[in-house]
Amino acid sequence: MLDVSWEMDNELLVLFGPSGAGKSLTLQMIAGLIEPDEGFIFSGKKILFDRTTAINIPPQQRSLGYVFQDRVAFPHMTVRENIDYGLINGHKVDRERKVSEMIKLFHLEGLESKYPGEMSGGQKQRVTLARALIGRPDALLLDEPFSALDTVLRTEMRQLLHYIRQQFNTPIILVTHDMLEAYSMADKVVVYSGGQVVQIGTPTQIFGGASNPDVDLFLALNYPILMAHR
Amino acid sequence: MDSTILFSLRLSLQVAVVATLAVMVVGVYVAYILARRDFRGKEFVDILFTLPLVLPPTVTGYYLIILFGRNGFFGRYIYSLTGWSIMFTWYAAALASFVVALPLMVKTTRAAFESVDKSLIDASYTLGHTELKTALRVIIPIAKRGIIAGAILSFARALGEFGATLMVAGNIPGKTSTMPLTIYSLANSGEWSKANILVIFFTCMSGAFLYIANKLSKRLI
Repeated sequence: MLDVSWEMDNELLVLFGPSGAGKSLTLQMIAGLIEPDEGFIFSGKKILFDRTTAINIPPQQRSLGYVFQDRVAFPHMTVRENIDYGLINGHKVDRERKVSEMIKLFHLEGLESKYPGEMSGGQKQRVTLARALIGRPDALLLDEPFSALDTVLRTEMRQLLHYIRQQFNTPIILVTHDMLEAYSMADKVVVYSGGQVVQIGTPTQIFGGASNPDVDLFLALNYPILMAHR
Repeated sequence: MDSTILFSLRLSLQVAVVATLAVMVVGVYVAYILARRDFRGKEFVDILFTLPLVLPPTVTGYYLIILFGRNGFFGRYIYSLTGWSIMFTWYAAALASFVVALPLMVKTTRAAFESVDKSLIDASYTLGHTELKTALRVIIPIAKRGIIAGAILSFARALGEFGATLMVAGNIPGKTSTMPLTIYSLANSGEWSKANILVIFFTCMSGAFLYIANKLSKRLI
């Protein structure tokens, strides 16, 4: 059972909470991969889903970049082909220019003709980010995109995400159960627990002094980590 | 080499190639629907396309006569329109091989389609690509090995078709006598040396096909 309601501006919003709280499910509903039973979803002024008026825009037309946890670069395409697949149409020359731009932006030079199987986890995730962004989506949805990476890489990817925010000025929804990630990345945090939103606020508000027992417990367990990074 | 043997060899290859091409087109489509769609009667469709695998080929052949015979369900219309019947032509042999080989293609390809990671398909959708483009650019290329393995198995099965072929195409020397039928005739008339050539040839070829299909299936996982 998932029953949530929240809104966001052009900012980086973190959906935070334990596994199974409904964070990924929310993201899949926003992307149109799963249909909610009730309610509505807006993206800017665009209605993506509304039960009462029976509107349900298919995922293809929602213009949202979606990055999954892992195994998401197309294994049968090279880096260049993977990124190019993010473009729906356009002239060959124009596409090639855009792809080259993304390759440069995401530091993938020299890997253009490599297949995902020949690359590291961090490189693969950079490819999928580039692929999701090349079509200039209205928002970027990230479902625990760095959870399969090691700590060093994760820090690098977080920096990359800040850089993406500056470069593309696109709203980002980041799903994570990593407290440090939520704390260091978010403009706004939505805390999930058992299919409900239990708290919404800035990282300082949420992690400074919590008022919800679930969040308190989570904070207590992770307090040393948080302190170490302050 | 003997002209009977050469003819049956050529005819068998012709029948198997035509049947396999048809099996690939229909099989990939049916497998895709079964792997990716949910609908009422899906179980029934699955059983329908698996039946020729377990039915005695003579039963499959019998059904084909009921459907395509001169007085058959479809056959009578074809005959009244064109004055032609598929029965006892090499087309009938191809049709029999097609029906009997199709389940192998559907089973193998469906398994390959189902093993394609769902998030790759979702990723393609969220990037704005239609279902058709996603099938052509993501699902089929990733399931390629399974599709090829299915096609090879189907080809081997089509090449070896005997029972249903005998029912609908007969065993007309120089017209519909495929390799398995020729072996039967040769053994019946005691021409063992000729039969030996075909039997050995057949065994080696089928073994080679299975080896290739196995290799491909293993790399699938």
